[in-house]
Amino acid sequence: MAEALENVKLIWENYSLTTISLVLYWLSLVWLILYKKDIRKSTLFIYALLIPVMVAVIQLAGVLIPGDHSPDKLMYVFPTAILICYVGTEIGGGRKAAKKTWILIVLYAIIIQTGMSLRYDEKLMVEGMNTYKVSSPVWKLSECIHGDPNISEPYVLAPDEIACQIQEMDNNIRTVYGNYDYTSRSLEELLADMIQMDCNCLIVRYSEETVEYMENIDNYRLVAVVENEYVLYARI
Amino acid sequence: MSVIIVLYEFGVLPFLLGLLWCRKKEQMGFCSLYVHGYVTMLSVFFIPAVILIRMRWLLSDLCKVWGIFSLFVPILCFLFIVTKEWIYADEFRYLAGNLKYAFSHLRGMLCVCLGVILFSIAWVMPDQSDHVPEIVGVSLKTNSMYVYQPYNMLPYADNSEKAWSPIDMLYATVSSLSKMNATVMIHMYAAFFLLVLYAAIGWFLADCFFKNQVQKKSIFTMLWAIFATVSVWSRRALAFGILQNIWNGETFLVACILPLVFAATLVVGNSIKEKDKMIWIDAAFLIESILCAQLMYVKGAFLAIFVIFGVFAAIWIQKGLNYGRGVRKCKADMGKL
Repeated sequence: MAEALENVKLIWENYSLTTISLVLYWLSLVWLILYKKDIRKSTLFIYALLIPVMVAVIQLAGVLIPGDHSPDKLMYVFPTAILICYVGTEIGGGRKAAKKTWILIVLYAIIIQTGMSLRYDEKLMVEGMNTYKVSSPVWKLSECIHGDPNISEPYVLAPDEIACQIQEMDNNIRTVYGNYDYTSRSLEELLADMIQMDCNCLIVRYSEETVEYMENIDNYRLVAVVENEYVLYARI
Repeated sequence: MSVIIVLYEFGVLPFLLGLLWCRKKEQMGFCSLYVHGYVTMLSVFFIPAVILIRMRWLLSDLCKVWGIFSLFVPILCFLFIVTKEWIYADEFRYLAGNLKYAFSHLRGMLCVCLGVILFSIAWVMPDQSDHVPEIVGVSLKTNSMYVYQPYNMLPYADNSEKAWSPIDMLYATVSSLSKMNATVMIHMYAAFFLLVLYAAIGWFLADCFFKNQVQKKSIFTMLWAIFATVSVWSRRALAFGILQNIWNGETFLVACILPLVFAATLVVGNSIKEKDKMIWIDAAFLIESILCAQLMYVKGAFLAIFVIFGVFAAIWIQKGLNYGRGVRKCKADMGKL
């Protein structure tokens, strides 16, 4: 039992430290207790307090009974969003809003302090390449496979970022994705897996060593180098 | 023609279905019609989809069923409006007034919501863990429903779990009916209408907390829209991928359906409190929301019931606290006397 409780505690610690929304959630609760005494009688406030308890019970059950522990993630999103938006509205929409500006400043300071969890990943905020919303190399690789008359019924072994998108461009391209760890395998292992899984195309990240190595191997034909980032080979 | 069919299925059909829910003038708002219509559309889709998937019928069969339903709805709406013409003349005037007011007084909120939606459509790349376009693509290619796995197209060993949450088949059906590329349809058109639904649910929720306070409702909706952007710039956010992949069943459930279940339960709670005779309509909407939740995710119905249970528990606790306060006050008053 103590171990189960420790596990639940760990889930919550991990969840709270890396999630800005949860920090804002606790702050919203504190703000409601301090400034909106009448809301303590409302359903929203009681619900906001009740849900963490219910989630904790489910987490505990999830730890004690082996299986899926999804509620810990699912159940917290919308009460959090609702409460934060409610408090934000009360702060920003009230008649005495200007007097409470300092609260907003503190909140922003906390958000900035949690900068460890901020990200600005270009991959996530890149310019939309096309209406398909797939990355540019995927688009070009798909065209290369489609345009090569010697590749019929393509079955591709590719890095995850390619494998997860290429079928969105062309339904006919089959890929090895899911339950396959591409990154941890060496080129030799990838070639062995290709034969085992009967793949006829290989996409690897571009490097001069890789190209040189592949030149010395029979039965593989270089089809295209895409954006100096990926190389497409067809198995003859 | 493809675009028109997609716009009809994701934009017009929900409005028509939303009209069927209207029983008083106050409900003739954009958000109310849109939200009620979407929930009805999704819950109606759930029933034939599950039956046909379980019976191992083809995707084309589901397309026929859904196509007939889509054609039947405007006729049903027309009959509904004709039979209640004397009410609806006034109702439509009210709707037009509502829209006019929104465009003149709530421009800030509309700009923020529209900005967030367009930002998502134009710049935000879908999450790698989203498999919806692949599932839809494979279904369209093989004219089957959850028979073949996405990516490698090998047959599923067991598809029984998938069959209980067939949201992907809605996209496959619309894509098949419109002959539009599934990826484009999901990433562009479906994303736009579902993000509008997300914003509309924000307004729907705000209506529960700030009735008749339009300014507060618009601030709430703005914050609701901004909250979705956290998933773009935060490494780990609770609002996972609302802007990245709203069409994904799990995201859709968490972003739209569960908050809606929360709001619908509050409405039912109020109806019980006020002893509203039309409570069955609110209860029916709540049941539809549960079906909708199940359409999105394997454990959707369980999670929706969990939310309902939580709200009712909160209402009962609130009632108990109020009763306790009343008793204490009475005792104090008696003591003074």
